[in-house]
Amino acid sequence: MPPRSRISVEVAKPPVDFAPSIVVAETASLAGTHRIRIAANTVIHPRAKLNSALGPITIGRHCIISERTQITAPDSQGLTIGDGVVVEVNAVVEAREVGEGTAVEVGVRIGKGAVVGKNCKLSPLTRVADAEVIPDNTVLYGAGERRVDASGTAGARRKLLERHVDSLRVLIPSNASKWMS
Amino acid sequence: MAPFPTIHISCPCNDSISIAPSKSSASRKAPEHDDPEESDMTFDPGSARSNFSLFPLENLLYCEDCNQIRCPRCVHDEIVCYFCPNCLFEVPSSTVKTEGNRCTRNCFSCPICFASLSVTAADESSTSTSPYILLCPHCFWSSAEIGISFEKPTSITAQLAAKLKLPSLQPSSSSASSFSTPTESYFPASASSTTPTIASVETTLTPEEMYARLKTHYATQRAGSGTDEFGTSPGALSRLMGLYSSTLSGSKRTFGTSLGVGKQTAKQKPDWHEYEHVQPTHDESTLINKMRTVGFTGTTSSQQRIIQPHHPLFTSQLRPLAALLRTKRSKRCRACRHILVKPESKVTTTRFRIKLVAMNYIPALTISLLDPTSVSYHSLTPLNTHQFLLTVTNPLFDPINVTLATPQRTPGRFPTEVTILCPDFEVGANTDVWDEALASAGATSGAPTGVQGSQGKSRRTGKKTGNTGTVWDAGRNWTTVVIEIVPPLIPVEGGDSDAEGEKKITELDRIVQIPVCVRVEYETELEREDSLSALSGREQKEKREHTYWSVLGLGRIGKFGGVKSSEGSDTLGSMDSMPTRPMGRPSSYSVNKPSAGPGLGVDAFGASGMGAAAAVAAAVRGGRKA
Repeated sequence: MPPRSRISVEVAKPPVDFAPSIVVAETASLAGTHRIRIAANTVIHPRAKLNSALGPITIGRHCIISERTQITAPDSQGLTIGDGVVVEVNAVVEAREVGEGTAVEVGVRIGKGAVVGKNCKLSPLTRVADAEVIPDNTVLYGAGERRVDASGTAGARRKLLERHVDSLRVLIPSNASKWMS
Repeated sequence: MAPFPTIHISCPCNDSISIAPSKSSASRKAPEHDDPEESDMTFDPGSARSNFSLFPLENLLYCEDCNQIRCPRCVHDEIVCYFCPNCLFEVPSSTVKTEGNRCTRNCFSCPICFASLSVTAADESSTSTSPYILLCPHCFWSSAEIGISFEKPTSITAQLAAKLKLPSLQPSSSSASSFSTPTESYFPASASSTTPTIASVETTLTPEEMYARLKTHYATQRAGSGTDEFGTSPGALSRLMGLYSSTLSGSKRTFGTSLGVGKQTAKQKPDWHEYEHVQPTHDESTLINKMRTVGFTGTTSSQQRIIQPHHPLFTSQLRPLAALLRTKRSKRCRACRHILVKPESKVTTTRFRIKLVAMNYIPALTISLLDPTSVSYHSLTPLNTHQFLLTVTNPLFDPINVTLATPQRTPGRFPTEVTILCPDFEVGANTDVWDEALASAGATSGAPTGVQGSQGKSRRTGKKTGNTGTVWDAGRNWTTVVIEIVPPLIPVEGGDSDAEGEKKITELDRIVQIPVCVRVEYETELEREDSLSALSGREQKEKREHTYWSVLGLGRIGKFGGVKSSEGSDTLGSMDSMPTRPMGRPSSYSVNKPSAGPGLGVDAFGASGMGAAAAVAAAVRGGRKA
């Protein structure tokens, strides 16, 4: 299906708090009224959607927010994404918190107010229910199956991610000043 | 729900059984028909056996020598090569015989989620000396979880085998003493005592240990006896037989010592018992305790358990699974032994040397509703005329004459009325696309110069009239005709079933399946090795024909109440207004008829079909009035 063309409406720019080393693509969409805070070395791909209408959004360091993702704060308590989190294409994140080093893969939906622990992996197309709490090092895979990751490869993954961010920094032109003004 | 419409083609390999004469068509058979045997056979798609002979066209092959369709059931498979799907390494068949049908290199799949594992360097933080592990990129299972890591990233299979070898076995298998006295190592009590001690030994040995001991035992047995002894001397044979029986029974006999003892004890051979049977049942409490400690997540799912050879109960006992090998196969006709499909033997090439698929030989059928908006395939209205478009596409380089035949009423308890408006027509050759473009250009200019042009616009019209005897539309190598069906009214379940005292109405009764016999005639140039025809300068033409049954699954009969009577009577009225309604059915067409034009076809098929359709209309109207 071809992408639908939408009438672009001038949305009120949310107040932002950007670290100087972040990459925010020109066509990323940041909307809402609450503050959006993005820490150093984070990459926001084109056409990623961040909506802070209901609460503030905080994104940690070395995160990658891919295109066509929807990052929405569930309520006034806001959404906190930890360091080194990858949100892949088409994912919908409405969690209260996504822990450090977690990978949110393609098409994952995290329900409203859920809390995802550190170093989790949500495999493609898995679901996290509203207000669910996922403990640290959990792997969601297959048809709703879960297991605890005991491989101890979180450090290696983090290193790989940092190199990934470095390569993306070259590829994606950043225009953070669009929201800073 | 099965998607409609479906088109299946019946392979004649089963014809002695599946194409049985159905009673309905036999009773209506025309006595003057010249080939009654062929025409009486109406393929019954509802019969139990037809399921096994019906295939989509894509699954069928074609044998050029037999001039016949070949289905997966009537070809022989021959393995061309074995290869690992993961590393695409071709494995020689001798290796497959010795090492088994799994990849012996670095290809493993995850025991948890069955994704393929990758060899990765372990974290520096981990204290283990061996720096490499097998890691699942999907679920993060790693071989470190079962305590296995590797020294080098290559030849993982050998390393894994060494790691999995039980430490208790290593001294006994390596020491020279076990080879000198093989019977004692495998049957420690065999020389001296009786069965109870054997049983106790069996319980202490793990399956791996048993297998390893058995392996060394056989190796020594083979080494001890010369090769010429096998098969030649009856003594050696009986010794081998005795070896099998006593191995499994654990009788007192020792091997290779005296044949006389073997003959005596052969009578008192104890029962066989299964390998799994020796699992003790009295220590279930330890199992339960272990389950209590590891919890639900520590146990394996049934899928994970079944795929492993040792059926582990706990995830800690899981092993990485070596990738199963795949094969490339060539296919042979069962009747004439000619090769139908032969792939390139190299693993990485996807080309075929020989590929005789049926799609290149027999015309393809496609069918769709004439007006897709009027009715859904899943709820055809009973007693209402539905029009479908049947397109015949010609893959051959010669123009073909197609004759479609279908029973007037489909076999089954609730027969559907079928009418093919133009059962006899021509389909153009599968020529170059440019020829068609040039021909049509010539036709539009007014002068019917080309061969294609003279036929093109006048005979194969694309007027889309829906009149009887004319095709609906035609193109370069395809022709479309209209099929009309009248689905039967299926009585509502419950009240009616008691009155009839018959079987209950199944879902199969609600599906409209129409058997259509497709007969193709064409002339092709004769292929000849001898230069006789070439010398005479005339092209030898050969007339060929091919007939096959296909089954069109047109849809499912819905509820009658869905459409109100106004619409129903409208359609019936239009049916009456049709001047003639040909019925293509096997008993009423003559196969040797010289290409009947549209007009001729109407005369030949008209009368009976008209009567049937009018009768249905009258019956419905009569029912309404009453």
